[in-house]
Amino acid sequence: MKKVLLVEDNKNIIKVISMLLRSKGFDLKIEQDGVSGVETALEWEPDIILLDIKLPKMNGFLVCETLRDNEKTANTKIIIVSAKAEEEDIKRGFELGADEYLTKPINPNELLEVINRHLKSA
Amino acid sequence: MKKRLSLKHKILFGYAAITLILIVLAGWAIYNFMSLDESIHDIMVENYRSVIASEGMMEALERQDSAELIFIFGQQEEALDIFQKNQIEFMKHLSRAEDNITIEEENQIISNLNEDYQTYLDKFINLRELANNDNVEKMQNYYLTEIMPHFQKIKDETRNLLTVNQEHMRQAQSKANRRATQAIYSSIIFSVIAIILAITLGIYVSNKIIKPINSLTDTIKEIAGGNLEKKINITTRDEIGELAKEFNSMTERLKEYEQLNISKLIEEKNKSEGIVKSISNPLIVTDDENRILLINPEAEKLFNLKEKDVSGTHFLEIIKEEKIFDLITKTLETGQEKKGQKNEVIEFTYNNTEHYYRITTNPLKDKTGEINLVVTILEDITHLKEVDKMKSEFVSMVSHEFRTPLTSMNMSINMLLEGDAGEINKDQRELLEVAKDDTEHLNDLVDDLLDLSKLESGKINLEFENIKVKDIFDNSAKPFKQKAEDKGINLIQKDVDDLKVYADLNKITWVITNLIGNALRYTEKGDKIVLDANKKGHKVHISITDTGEGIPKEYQHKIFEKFVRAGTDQDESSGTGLGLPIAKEVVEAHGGRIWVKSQEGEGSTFTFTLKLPK
Repeated sequence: MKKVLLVEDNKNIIKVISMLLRSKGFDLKIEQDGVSGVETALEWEPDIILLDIKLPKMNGFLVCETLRDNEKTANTKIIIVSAKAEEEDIKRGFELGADEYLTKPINPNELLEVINRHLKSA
Repeated sequence: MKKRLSLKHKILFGYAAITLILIVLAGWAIYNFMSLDESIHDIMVENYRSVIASEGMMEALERQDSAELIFIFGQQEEALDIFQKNQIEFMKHLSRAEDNITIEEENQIISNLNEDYQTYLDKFINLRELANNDNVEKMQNYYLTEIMPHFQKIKDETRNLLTVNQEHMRQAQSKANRRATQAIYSSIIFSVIAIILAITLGIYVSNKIIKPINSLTDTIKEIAGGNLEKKINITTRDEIGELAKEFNSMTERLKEYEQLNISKLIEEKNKSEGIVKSISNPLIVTDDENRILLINPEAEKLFNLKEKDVSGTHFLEIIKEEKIFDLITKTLETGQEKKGQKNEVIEFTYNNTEHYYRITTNPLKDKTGEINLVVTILEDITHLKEVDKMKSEFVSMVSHEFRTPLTSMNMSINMLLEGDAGEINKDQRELLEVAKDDTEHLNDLVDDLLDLSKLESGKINLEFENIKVKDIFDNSAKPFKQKAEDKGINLIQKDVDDLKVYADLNKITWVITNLIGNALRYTEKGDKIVLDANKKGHKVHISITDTGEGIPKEYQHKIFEKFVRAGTDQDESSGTGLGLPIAKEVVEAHGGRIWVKSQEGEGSTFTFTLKLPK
């Protein structure tokens, strides 16, 4: 069973995404701030991380940078899912090591397609 | 007042002087002629008569002597007759000589002659008495001893008279000669003096007249050259003096007038300077060679300058702002007011805060219509910029805040429709479809709002390149091919050959996409949508024409404003109402413009301009 870590602070998004992924048979853990996100990622070593940018305690860019600096998560697939859709944000996300940058709003099929594509290439 | 000597009098005076000299000369000549005449008269009248008389006396005397000889030799009657005749003759001449005594010596000679002739006559009487005695011998003797010597004496005296007179004549002649020579020389000297005097006088008089005229002319020239301080220094009391006086008073009035004008000008200058100084935006005035003439206190503050230090210096030497300088030179060249492009804002930091300025350059023309000054105003739009920034930040924030709830809504609806949360019935599905449509619409709106906000704040970076219009058309039309076919609408791309434009491919594709999207929305089966492009001057005109329902006139000028829809558009969910404002922003960011021509019921043509390749 593939492990997916969702780092997101919006309860409704958490609810929707967890319902979607669990129904599709993913092993899902959820963290609601950046620091916990990093801790869980290092501890649990998920296959894929869905990462928001606007997060309490530590923003998504920093989380991404920190995880890439650690051997354990250096190759973990990171998909940023953010409302920040500016070109510079997208550019920065890829520079910091993200594998994909999805801008909100997203639809369920799109999300599933992206997750499956990255899991296959892993 | 001293009686003035007029120019006319001066000329008359000159002529009078010359005439006087001529009169003196003529007088002198007349005097000389008279002297000569006198001398001639001396010769002719005084002496010549005496000479004639002397000669007559001589002749008569000779005859009388002959008569006496005849008498002695017997023909007494005849001789007596001759003698008496010649006695009368002699007396006649003697009395003539007596009447014409002109020389001192003559007096004595004549008196002697009178006396001696009387004796001679007496001696002839004596001879006649001897004849009465018939004593020829005695007669002869008497003649030889008495008469003959006496005759000789009278003859000598007569000759003496002749000689004296001849001598006198000779003297008179030489006197006349002397006089004539004198007259020649004196006439020459007099004439020379007269000529010199006349010339001197002529020069003097003409100088007296010409000099003031020359001085007047020179001074007038100088005054005409602008030197109103100059005065004509002529104090003569003639017409020229009068003219000079009048001219001086005219110059004086002219000077007063000029001073009046100068003070008016100064007043005007102070007024305009006051106005310039009171303008709260920085202002710079430059001349036709881009030298700074004037800067107001605001500009001094902004550029940290002092007007007196920079006046007359080239703009770029002082203010190193190419953008401003470009506008100034464009205004000089075209004579038109130039405004910085909407997004062309100049940023300065002073007093540790950022300031934004929009530039406007205005030409000032002189009376011949030539542009000689450019007024550059830097409009402080810092506050506008701040408002703009706040607006952009607000829009951006709101949009972001919308995206997260939209995501959960969108996903929830989609999952429900997919049946992830269990089976749904037909009515539920329909309601969910409605919710899905509006979530998508809301999502588009958020995207457009963000785009527009970015365009308006100039945050969008255009990637200019030389691109083929055909490529833009291909890219733009592709997504609509299927939809147009489905709707039965003919989407036509005109042949544009190799026409190229200088533009950002993605942004311009977006504009055309938007316009095609709009056209599709307002067309029906059988309609046409035509994409065309033409080169016009330095621009390329790109047009999207449809044969749809057209735009009512009252909406045509408003459709590029935000959230404006043509009145016939009932389907509010089909567009965001931001497509055309965004298209306008994109075109303007390319330095072009966009407009629409439409006839209700016949269709619309949207046209925008792009630059030719560089």
